[in-house]
This record gives sequence, structure tokens and C-alpha cells, in this order.
Amino acid sequence: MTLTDISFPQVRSTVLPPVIATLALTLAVMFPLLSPLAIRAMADIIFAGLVLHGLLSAQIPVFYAFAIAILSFAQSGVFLSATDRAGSIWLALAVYCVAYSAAAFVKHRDARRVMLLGGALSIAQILDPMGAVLAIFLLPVCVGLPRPGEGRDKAGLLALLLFMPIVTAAVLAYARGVLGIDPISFARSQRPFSHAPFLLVLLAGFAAAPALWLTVLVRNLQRPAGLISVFTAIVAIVEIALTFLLGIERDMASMLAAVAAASPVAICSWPRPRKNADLMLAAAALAAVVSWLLIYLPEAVT
Amino acid sequence: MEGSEDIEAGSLASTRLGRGARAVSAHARLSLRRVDLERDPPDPSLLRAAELDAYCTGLFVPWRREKGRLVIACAEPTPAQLAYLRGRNTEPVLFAYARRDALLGAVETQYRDRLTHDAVHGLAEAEPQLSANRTFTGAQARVIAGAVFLAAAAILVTPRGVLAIVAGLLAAAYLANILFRIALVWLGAAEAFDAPPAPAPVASEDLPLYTILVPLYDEANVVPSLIASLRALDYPREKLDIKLVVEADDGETRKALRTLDLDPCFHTVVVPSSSPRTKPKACNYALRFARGEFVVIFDAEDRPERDQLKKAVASFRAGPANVSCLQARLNFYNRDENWLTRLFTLDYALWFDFLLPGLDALRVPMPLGGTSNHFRTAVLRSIHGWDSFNVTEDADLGVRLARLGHRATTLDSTTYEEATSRLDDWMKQRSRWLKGYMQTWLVHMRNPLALWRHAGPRGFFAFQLFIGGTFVSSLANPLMWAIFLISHATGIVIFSGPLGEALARASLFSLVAGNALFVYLAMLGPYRRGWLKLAPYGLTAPVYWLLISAAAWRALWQLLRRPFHWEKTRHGISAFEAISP
Repeated sequence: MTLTDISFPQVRSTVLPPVIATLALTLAVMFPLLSPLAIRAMADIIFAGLVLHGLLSAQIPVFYAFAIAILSFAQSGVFLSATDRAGSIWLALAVYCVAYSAAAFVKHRDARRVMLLGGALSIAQILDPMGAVLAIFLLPVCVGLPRPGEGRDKAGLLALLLFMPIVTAAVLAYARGVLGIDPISFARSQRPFSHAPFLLVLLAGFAAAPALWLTVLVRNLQRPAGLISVFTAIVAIVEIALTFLLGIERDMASMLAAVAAASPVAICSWPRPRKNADLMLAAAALAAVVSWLLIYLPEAVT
Repeated sequence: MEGSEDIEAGSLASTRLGRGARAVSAHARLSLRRVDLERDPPDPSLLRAAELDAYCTGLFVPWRREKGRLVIACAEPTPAQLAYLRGRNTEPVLFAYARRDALLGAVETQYRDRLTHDAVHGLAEAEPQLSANRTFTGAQARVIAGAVFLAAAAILVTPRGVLAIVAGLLAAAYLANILFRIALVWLGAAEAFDAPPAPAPVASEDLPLYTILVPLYDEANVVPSLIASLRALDYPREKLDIKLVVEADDGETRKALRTLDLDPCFHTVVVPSSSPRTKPKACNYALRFARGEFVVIFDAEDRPERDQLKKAVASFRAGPANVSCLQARLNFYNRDENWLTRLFTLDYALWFDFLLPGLDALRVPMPLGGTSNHFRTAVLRSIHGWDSFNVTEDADLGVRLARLGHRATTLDSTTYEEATSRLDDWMKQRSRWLKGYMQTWLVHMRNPLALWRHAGPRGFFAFQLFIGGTFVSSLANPLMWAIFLISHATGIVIFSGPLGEALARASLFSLVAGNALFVYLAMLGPYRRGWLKLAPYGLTAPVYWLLISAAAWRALWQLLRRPFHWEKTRHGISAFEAISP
């Protein structure tokens, strides 16, 4: 008997979306009334629910799905964001939404996935300014990936996908610039930002992402979906490293949050989930250990 | 031998092939004598009004009494029918053959007033609460008058307060409508609608008789292409019962039909002149003569996909018994003609490819589109057909079906139509649609509790948002823009105080989000069909929405002045060829 055969209470992936949607709606409506810690705690739960839903939908055995979700959750310490100590839940959410919807889009390209990707890129901008950068780099790749027998008009598709992110960017610019409103700012962690050399941050990002690199190596990968999640992570890693270089406020936890969010999406594209479950779990565990070492080892040494 | 008692009547008068060939061969086999009902009409004393439907659909009529026997004229006699007719008459009977057009003409001549009266007032007499023959009930008029009086009084006391409340309500309705549409698009975009499991095809010999109603008025120019399109349908010709429904005073169209050598499956129904002159009245009139198990409406310029009828039969057979209507998707063959046809195409694509499937998924009342609705004929008759006084009789019928426990669902087949390419035509058509939505809302809101009971809470709210929301948001749109532009251009502070500021932001958000989402949905509309080169035109949708708003205000004016007036849409003016892609 292996772990894949262990009988867990059946968790149907279809149960989660309504729960997550209700939580997200509650969070959106109650936003002005909740404390920053409560908001981040709810965001943590939503993030964990989304990751778990994605893994279960990919037919990953229940035990492994829970284990990988917990490890991803733990990897960047996003749960600590609720205690105001570390982590960057908003960035994790933004990257996960974008990576998941981009992978779904390149896999199916139906109207729902178009809405999902446009919505994710819009929400990502609200959650973190990096969402705009992701949109700029991601959309041309998503649209440009060849699809056999597809005769869709690329310019029209790009216009359709870009519309929501552009409107959101304009509305956010107006809200922040003219009205002085930043929807998420007061819910962001107030801890001081750490500074580290660009190259170190870049290497840390890549080191903490074994699942992503394995994704490229796994045979019979559902290529477009897997590669787009890796590409999303690379854009996020490079962008965060650049923000360090430019002196914009970011810390190592931000980097690891981005990596931790993209990794489960990449894992979902692996073939034969039951056969590869152990490898998935090992990758997630390794990523978590490396991440914690990267965050806390320097602190411990200094 | 069946009909052996008729042999004495002599040999066949005619063995003419071509028109009526099938019927002739049938009566030849049965050795029936031929009678000319145009020259020798039936004896009126033998006809019974209670049998009217049987005459119209069974294609028989008592003709004369000869030598103590009743002679029954039949247009499509079969051994089974003759046996049936013999069994239902206590006296000895003889059978004769009459041409179908002559037989139906004789019945129409005898019962013209009755048929016309039923076509106009059938629903109003059977279900007065569900007919739009009165625009407002007394209670509705009192409520509206009371609201207007209260608003006027409040404006005198606190004009700014009233404005703020009205603006707030409009913003809420505006946003609720667009958010509901987003939800519908999400539901309608499910893959199940992209690639529904195809129901098992029905073998040709098992296909039932199918009635096609084609109401025509001033359509002489499109008659040849219409007939070609109907002939192209992939359905056994002998199982088609096509009713070309023309108005008595439309000489041109009748003349155009006469010049064509029509197959026996075509039957021209001439609707006597009467008020109101509406398409539903003509359809009700023709429905009396429908003989098919199923019936579908096509407009004159329609080009249905060839296998649409077969798909409909398969869907009816495979689906639940309470599915009484299938709505095929509509779109346009002349979409690239100009800006208006492109925007109209985006509008239609969104409506038929996403919104209606969304309503279907929610299992709530679905307002039908004006054409390509397939019905179970018996059900349609049992609910008294269309409302002759409603200028969007299709939308009303969809709601009425749902209230009576039936279900309308979507059919994965497209009918291509001609989009109105001129602004004046478009404005008339859109005004009529919006006026009809207002009529439909008023009819079904005469007793909101009954609507709640019949449609359920989900259906009730969907009705408010989809039927009510359509014309309310169209009416509200220019008001929202006006409030926004006036307050920004003149600096007039409409909303003051902390609450007012919140209201101002909410209104602005509604306006921006509403228009942005409207644009987005317009761009998404053609996605399912892969017509993405049209998507960028969606960016101009706010202009199109303003045109819809103008049509909505025109519709409101007409609702008050000429509620039943039907503004005819001209067809056959597009330079584009009617070729289905």
C-alpha cells in the first residue's frame, strides 16, 4: 500500500470554488471593516483553497494534494503574513491567479478561460503592481502559442485579453493618483523591507523552484500549460530581482511567495499524477526547505 | 377494399403529377372521386364549428349529402384516416378527394371571422391576465401615478435629495444588470454549450411531420431566396408542412408566391385584414392549420443551417418531456457590411451564444428570439399561441412557457439573418423590441406574487434583471452620462456630505464599470464563432449603447401612444449575399 492508496475523506474539487468565491466576496465586501491582520488571514485561506482546488482538479491523489498545498503555503511563509512577521500573501495570490489562468487558457482557449485570464490579470494588478508587468510579458506569449487548426484572429484575441487589464490599470491610476485610494495598501504587511544583492535574489528565486525546473524536464508534459507557468514564474523572479536592483521595496519573502505560488500550477501540468505523486511531493518539500533556509538562515547568521 | 363504396363515383378526374402528386397517388390508390371545392363549396349546414381544428389539421371537410350518405372531402386521404372518419360518423359515409388548398380555402371562407377572432383574442379571452391587450392594469396605473406624484412632491421639498436617490437607484440597477449579464456569460460560456453531446440522430423514416411558419409582409423581393433556402433544408420533403403566411392586403407578396412553382409541402395562408396588424396574430392564424408534431418560425430573410430541423427533432426526442421549445442561435450573414451591422453582430453573438445559454443553465425564463423557435405544436396550442398584442411576442412566450411549467432551451444550430444596415430601420426595430420588453414586463408584473410562485425566486429575479434590466439600463444610460457630464462640466455638486460623496463615487463606479463591462462583453461576443476580427469594434460599444438608449426612450413614448403598433423591418436591402458561412 502506498500513500496514493490511502483513503481520505473524499474531497471533491467542485466543492471548493463556491467556498472560495464566498470567502472572496465576503472579503471584498467587508474589506473596509476588517483589520489588516484579519484581511491577510482570510487571504491566506483563499490562497490555500485555490492551491488545493487546482491540485485536486489535476487528479493528484488527495493526500499528496493536501501535502503539496501545505508545503506551498509554508514555502514562502505566507501564513506568517497574518501575524505581520513575514510573507507576501498578495503577491502569492496575484502570481497564482495569473499562472493558473494562463495555464488554463493555453490548454483550452475557450471563452471562460479568456474571461479568467483577463480577470486574473486585472485582479493581480489590484493585489500587487507586478500584475501589470505579468500582463505585458504574458499575454503575447499566451496568444502567440500555436494551436493546431486554430484560425482565430490574433490581434482580436490580444485586444480582447488586454482590455480588462488596461481598464483596471487606468482605473487604478485614477484611484491612486487623483482620488488617493490604494485598495490594498493598508492591508499590506508593515514590516521593514530587507535589501539584498540582485544576483543573490535572482539565484535564490531559481534555487527555490525545483518543481518549476522539473516541469521542464518531465517527459510527456502537457507542454503549453506547464511551460506557461514556468514562464510566469521566471517573469516574476526576474521582475522582483530587478526591483531589488532598482531599490524598490521588496524582500526575499516576496520572491519566494511568487515562486511558491507558481510551483503548484506547474506541478498540475505533470502527466500521470498518481505515478509522479512522490516526485511532486519531493519537489514541493525541497522547495519549502530551501525557501526557509533562504529566509531564516541569513537572519540566524547575522 | 378501403373506400370501395366510392367506386361508383367513377374514375379519377386527374392523375396530374407534380403539384399534389403524393396526394393524387394516394387518392388514386383509394379510388376516390375528385371534387372541386372552389367551384362546389361544402354545404355550410354540415360544418360544425367545434370541428374546426380537425378540419384544419386533418384536411377533411363534410361536403354534401348524397343519396342518404355523407360525402367527406379529404385532401390527403389514407386508409387509416378513412377508417377513422368512418368510425366517428354514425351515418353512412362516402369519401372524395379535394385539393388541399381548395379544402383549406373552403374552411377559411366559412370560418374566417372565427379564425381571425381566435388569432387576435385567443389568449386575451382564455388568460386575460397574461395578454398585453391592456398596457397598464388599473392597479399598475395607480402605482405609477402615485410614484410620480410622490416624486414630484419630494422634488419640491428636496430636489437634490430626490436626484441623489434616483441616481443611486439607477446606478444600482445599472450595475446589477451588467453584473447579472457577466454571470450569465460565465455560465453560458461553459464548454457544455460549446460542444454539447449530440443527441442520437433520428432515422429518416421516424422523422415526424414538421410545420414551418413563415410570416411575410411586403417581402416580395426576398421570396425567391426564401423558397430556395427552405428547399435546401435537409428534411424529407413529404414530411414538411410549410405555411407561407401572407396578409390579405399584401398583393405583391402574394403575386410573387403565385409566380413560383411551389412543391406540395408549401401552403399559402392568407390572413384577413384586422387589427392589430402584428406578426403574432398572423402566426396564431396559421398555427390553426399546422399539422406537424413540431412547429418552427422562420422570418423571410432567414437562412437556417440545413440540418436544423433534424437536430431539433433529435433534441426533442432525447430531452425531457417538459422541454417544449428549442431556440436556435441567430446571427447575421451581412455582418461586415458597415459599423452598425458589425455592432449588431456583436450584440446578437453575445445574446444567442452566451446570454441565452446562461439563462438555460440557470433554468430560468428565457425570452425567445423572434425566429427559429421550435415548439411542440400541441403545447403551443394549449397555451393559446402568441400574444397578438405584444410586439415581442417571442420574449413573452418564453416567459409564459416557464410560468406554465414548460422549459425552453437552446439548440446548437444557427440561423443566419440579414442585419438591418440602416440606422432608421435599426432604430425602428430596436424600439419595437424594447417596447415589447416593456409590455412583457408589465404583463408579468401585474401579479408579482403569481410570477414568484410560477417562476420561483430565481426565475423571478432573473426576469427582473433580464427583461426589466434590459430596458431600465437602456433608459438609465443617458441619464447617468448626463449626471456625470453636467456635474463635471458645470461643477454643480449633486451629491454633498459624506453619504453624498460615497453615492457620487458609487455612481461613477457604476458608470465606468458598467460601460467597461459592456464593451468587454461586446468584444467577447464573437469569440465562440471565431470572428475575432470583429472584437476591436466592441470598443465602440458605448456609442451603440447610446443608440439603444435612444431607441429605449422612443419605445417608452410609443408604449404610451401606440402600444400595439408594429414597425416593420425591411428585408432584402443588404448588398451582401445571403450565404451561410
